Formats: sequence, C-alpha cells, structure tokens
Amino acid sequence: MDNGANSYLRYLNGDESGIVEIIRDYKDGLILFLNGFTQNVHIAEELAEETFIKLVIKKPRFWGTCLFKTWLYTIARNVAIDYVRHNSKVSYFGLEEYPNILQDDESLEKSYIREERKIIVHKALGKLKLEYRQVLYLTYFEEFNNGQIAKVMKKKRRQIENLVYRAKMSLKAELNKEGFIYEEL
Amino acid sequence: MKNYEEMAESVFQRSREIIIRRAKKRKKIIRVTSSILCSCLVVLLGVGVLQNDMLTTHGNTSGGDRTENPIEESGPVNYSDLIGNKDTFTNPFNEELFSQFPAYSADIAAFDESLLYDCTAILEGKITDMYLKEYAFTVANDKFGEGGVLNSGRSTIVYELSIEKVWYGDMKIGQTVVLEDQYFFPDEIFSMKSGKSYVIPIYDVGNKISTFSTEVVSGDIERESIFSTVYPYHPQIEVTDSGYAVTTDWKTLTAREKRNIIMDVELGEYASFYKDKMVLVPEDIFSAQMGILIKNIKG
Repeated sequence: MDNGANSYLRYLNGDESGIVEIIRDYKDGLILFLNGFTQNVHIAEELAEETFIKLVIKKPRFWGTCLFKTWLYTIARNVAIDYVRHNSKVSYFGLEEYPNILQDDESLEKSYIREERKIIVHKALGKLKLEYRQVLYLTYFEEFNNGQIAKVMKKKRRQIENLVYRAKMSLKAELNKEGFIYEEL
Repeated sequence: MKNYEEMAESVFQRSREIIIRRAKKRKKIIRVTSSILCSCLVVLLGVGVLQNDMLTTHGNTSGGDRTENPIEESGPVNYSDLIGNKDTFTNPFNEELFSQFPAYSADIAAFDESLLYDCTAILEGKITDMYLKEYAFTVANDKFGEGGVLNSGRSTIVYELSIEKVWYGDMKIGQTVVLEDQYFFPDEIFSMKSGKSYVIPIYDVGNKISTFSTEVVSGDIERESIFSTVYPYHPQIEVTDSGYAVTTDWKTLTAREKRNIIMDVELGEYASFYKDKMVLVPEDIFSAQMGILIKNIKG
C-alpha cells in the first residue's frame, strides 16, 4: 500500500493526522495541476482545499485499484471541472491581485518543480489548450503513466497516447517560439 | 499561499462548518416536513370524519372500488415512493457507462419547449436495451503538414425503446425504435435505464455521427440510428404508476395541477440542479397539457 493510501486508511480509522500527511505530501502538486484549469494559483489553492474537504466530509472509499495519487487527482479534476462549469463566464481576479498571483505561482514552481528547465516548460504549458496542459503536467511533473492519466482524465489509454503526442508537438512549437529546445520532447 | 499546516487547519475548520450547516439544514427539513405531515394528517382525519358522517347519513356503506395506492393523493411526494425499490435507481450497467463515457464540459442552452419545433416524434415507451457504441475514425488536419490526419473517436449510447404510446409522430405502438445519443445526462438516478418507461421527444439527426470536422478521411461514422433524444441534458419525463415525473422546465406540461417531488435520494453534483425542479403531473392533466403543447408547437 502506498503512503497516501496508508495515511488515508489511518484517517478513516479516526486518526486526523492521516489527512494532514496527505495535505503535506500532495498539496503543492495538486495546486499546480489545478492551476492548469484555473490559470490562477489562488483559485487552484482553493480547489485543492476543496478536494481535501471532500475527503474529510464524504470519506469516499479508496478501493486500491489504482495508486492513491491517481485517485486523488481524479477527485481534484472533478472539483475543477465543476468549478469551471459554474464559473466559466466570471472574471476571477482584479488586476491589483495579479502581481501576488504571479509571485505565488513562481514560488510554488520553484519549491515544487525545482529544476530551471522544467520551470520553463511549466510556464510554456500555460499557453497550451487545457487538455494538453493537463496531460503534459501529469506526464512530466507527476510522472504518471498513460494508464494513470487515462483514469484521471476519464479517457481511454489510446486517446491519451494521441493526446500526449499532439500536446508534445504543441509544446515544442511553443518552446521553439521562445528559442528554447528541450531534448526530452 | 498557505503552508500545509495552515491548509490542514483550514480544511478541518471548513469541514466542521459544512457539517454543522448540513445538520441545521437537515433539522429544518425535518421540522418543516413534520409540520406539513401533521397538517396533512389533521386534514385527512377531518376529511375522513366528514366522509364517514356523510356515508352514514346517506346509508351508503360501500367503500367504493378505489384501488389501493400507498402514495398519498395530495401534497409533495417522495421520489423513492414513486419509483419503487431503491435498488432499481442505479444498475451495474450505468456504473460501467459512467466510467467509459468521456466527460465533456461545455455551455449548454437551457431547455425550452420551442426545441420541439424540430422533433420528429414524442414517444412513450419502455427502454428494453441500452449499450455503448464506439466509433474510431481519422479526420483531415494539416496542422503538422499537408495531407495530415488525426485519429479521432466518439462514443454514443444506443437505446432500444418499445413504443407504448405515440403522443406525436407517425410511429406505431408496439414498434421498437432505436435512439442513439452522443450526449448523456451524467447522473445515476436521472439517466435513462433499461426496464423503465419514459416520454421522449426524438428528432432525426441524419445517418452520420457528429465529428466536429469537415473531412473524415477513414473509419466508420455511420450511425446505428438516425434518431436522437431532442434534449439529453436534463432528466427525461419518467412514467410512474401515479403519473408523470416531469422537470419544471416543461412550462406547458407543468402549468396546471401538479405535486412537488421530494428528491429523497442522493443526486450527483450535476443532477442536484434538478433537486427542487421535479413535479408529478397526474395522467389526465399530462394528457391534456401535452395536447396543448403539441398544438402550440406543431400547429
């Protein structure tokens, strides 16, 4: 059983520190993943919190048919889709808030992604389509395999393979525009 | 940004608030429901006493030939009482369907009865079978060079509907019509299920599935059926023993006598929009209003 699953099981058995451990281990990655939907790190943080609240209140059963992380990201994606569906026509933040968002976004990138070249790739992701952003984030930054991504994005493995290919092409073009060559693509 | 300890504290704090709020809401519902039930009971007792008196006065001791109906005849009605056994709300097939059918997020125009202008028929019948159909094809795309193609795919749900009543259209009772929908109401309670009866407006969408692309290069896009549900994004009208369970966006059908349906079952997040928008329309009223609606729409 992976660590997340272990912590969650402890939480279900009444040990609140289980959830604290899950928040500690998955919060940053989850915020960056959700930022792909919202393009606003503060809202992404809210949604990550919302995801953890779902675990605390609803206590959904984790059956262990996939990694705990895959399961958690699937819940987070549902939260994000719900958010986007209800707020698609709303402007999320005022201009005065924009510098703070940028600052928090950068500090999260620095602390979670660490490598400079990966940070550049992460910035370029922001210019891609939502599906491309999601699939590339899960591939490069969370190191999910296609099967796990298919589970999170509720698609078939074959669809994910196509999506990854098209997303890579699009990312390559975006990086080329900025004169950056990334050999791993 | 919060660190993990701050976030954990906030998560617990907000969870506690939500739980308290829900408990309060539940209490309020119980309070309101009990008062309504008490009032109903008093009224029913009153009516009972009155009727008994009248029967005695007129010397008529017969109880009439009313069929036994466990559902009260006025006031709100529970969805679970209408539909019957709770186990039939969901079925294993739907779970599989939910996991396989790709989720789309889009802005959807709200339902309006004017959508029926294009409908071919309005049918009442039982779903005798339903299954998922997959289409794989390639579409022309010159994004990566001239003559390029992209692999693409679509999923549809196919329903077989055994017609029990034709409200509008040229079809015959007893005929089985196949419906094929590219979209699907994503809720285990409200999605159409095999073995249940519905009133469904259908329309002709042609024999090719929608691919969102002008040029399909290869693959099979021939639909199983030319018919599709007119508006698959809300719960279809469900036929029950006590009448028709209708969403309130059917303005004409719900314009007259109706009873609110209390959704005493757990709905998914998308479906919760319809939680307080379901009414039960008695059969005779439904029939009359459907006549008016068809006259308005189809002249």
